[in-house]
Amino acid sequence: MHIPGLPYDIAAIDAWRSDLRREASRVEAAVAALASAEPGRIEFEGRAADRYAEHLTSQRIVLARVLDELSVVASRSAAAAARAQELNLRYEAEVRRQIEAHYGGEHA
Amino acid sequence: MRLDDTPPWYVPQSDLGNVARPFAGKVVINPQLMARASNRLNSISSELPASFSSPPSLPPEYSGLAADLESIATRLRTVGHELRSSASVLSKRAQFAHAGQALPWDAPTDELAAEDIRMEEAKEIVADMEQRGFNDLEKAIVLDLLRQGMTRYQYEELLRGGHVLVEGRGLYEKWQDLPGVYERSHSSSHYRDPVKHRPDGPKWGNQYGIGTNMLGAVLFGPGPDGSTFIQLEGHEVGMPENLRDLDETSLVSRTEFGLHMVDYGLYKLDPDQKNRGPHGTSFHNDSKPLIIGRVDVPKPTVWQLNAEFDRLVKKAQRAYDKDHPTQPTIHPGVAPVPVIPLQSEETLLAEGYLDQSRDQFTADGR
Repeated sequence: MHIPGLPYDIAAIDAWRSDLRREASRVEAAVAALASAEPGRIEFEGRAADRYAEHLTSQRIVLARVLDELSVVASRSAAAAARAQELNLRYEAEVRRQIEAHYGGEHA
Repeated sequence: MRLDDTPPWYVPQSDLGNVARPFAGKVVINPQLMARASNRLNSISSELPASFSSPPSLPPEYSGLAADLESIATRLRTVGHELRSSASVLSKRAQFAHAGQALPWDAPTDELAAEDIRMEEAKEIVADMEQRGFNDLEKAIVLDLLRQGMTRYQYEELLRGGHVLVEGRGLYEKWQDLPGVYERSHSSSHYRDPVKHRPDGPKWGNQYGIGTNMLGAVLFGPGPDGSTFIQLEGHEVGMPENLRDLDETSLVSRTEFGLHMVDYGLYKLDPDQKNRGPHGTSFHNDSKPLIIGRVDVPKPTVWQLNAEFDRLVKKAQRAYDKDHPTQPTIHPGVAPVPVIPLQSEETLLAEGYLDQSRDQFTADGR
């Protein structure tokens, strides 16, 4: 029996999680791409190049941190999805129990 | 670009090609590769997610995820902005390099040149310290000043006794812990409180001394505008207790003290009032200090400027007089002016200086 009005939309949570994974992979690609934008690869030397390299490195570090945090969010989102699933099941079970208690099992 | 405006880093159009080119021998730029790098940064930036889709309804303990994602998105937007800025700078550099010019920040600007010079000077100073055989304490003091940005000129003047002001009281605090430091508030004439003169102490706090071999007598203390002053003196004043007894220490201290006072006398007699340091004399006394960092030295008052001006005029006069010794002046065409002593009217009349027949005034005095 399908119980309407479940508290959590598991399909929407899964879709959101796959969005997150896609965005995280874009950030991951950006971190890798930044490594290939070093001044040495574009024949750019001197103090200004050093500053440019420092700037790129700092941005890459920020992105790497962001990526770490995104992976934490992704793993928490997996836990959230599991928890939502569990709460949905509990809700469903409770509704079932109440229906059975009310109708004496003939509608179960 | 007119010839007069040609900067030293200008590369003529004829020298351009699709190769990395040096600017003033320091910066090498390949415009094509740089333009490509700019495009790459732009594409990386555009690939970064600017925002995340908001999460659907989640269990309450996971409600913070939305805020976490917003924070991450904010940082990603910042990185994207930074990358686009870098791309824009690279693109401009590429254009300028293609046109045979360097951007001001690619060329050895004053700032970069100053930094280069400072690095070279720092190496020279370190080499000089080695050559002179500075001990660890002396090196530590000079290196502290070097870290604050001391130039070669300032170093040389410091050794000659130049009065140096360093931004902040950091070194003042730090140097008090150096070995052999003793208080010299009693024997320093610098920054005395004009109201509370000796022995009540200097204006901004105690002053200290360290006896060294190569740096002479190091005197330091709090200077104006929250600064630290340091001055190397040729001879030590010494601690008062060392001057009391007639032992060997006392004799050395007395000799040093005597020589210090001789230096002080020479300083006072010197028309330039040059400081007497361990390695010469310096024009930079405490009214013309050398400044490391930012120190707002009080401007001299009008009377100080006047006194300085008078001093310079007198100095110039002395120099002129020295080069042009006074000779008796002879003016052949001018007759000496007779001096007429004051005499009575009768005498003047008798000698014909007054004409009695000519009345110079009318009866009513007009």
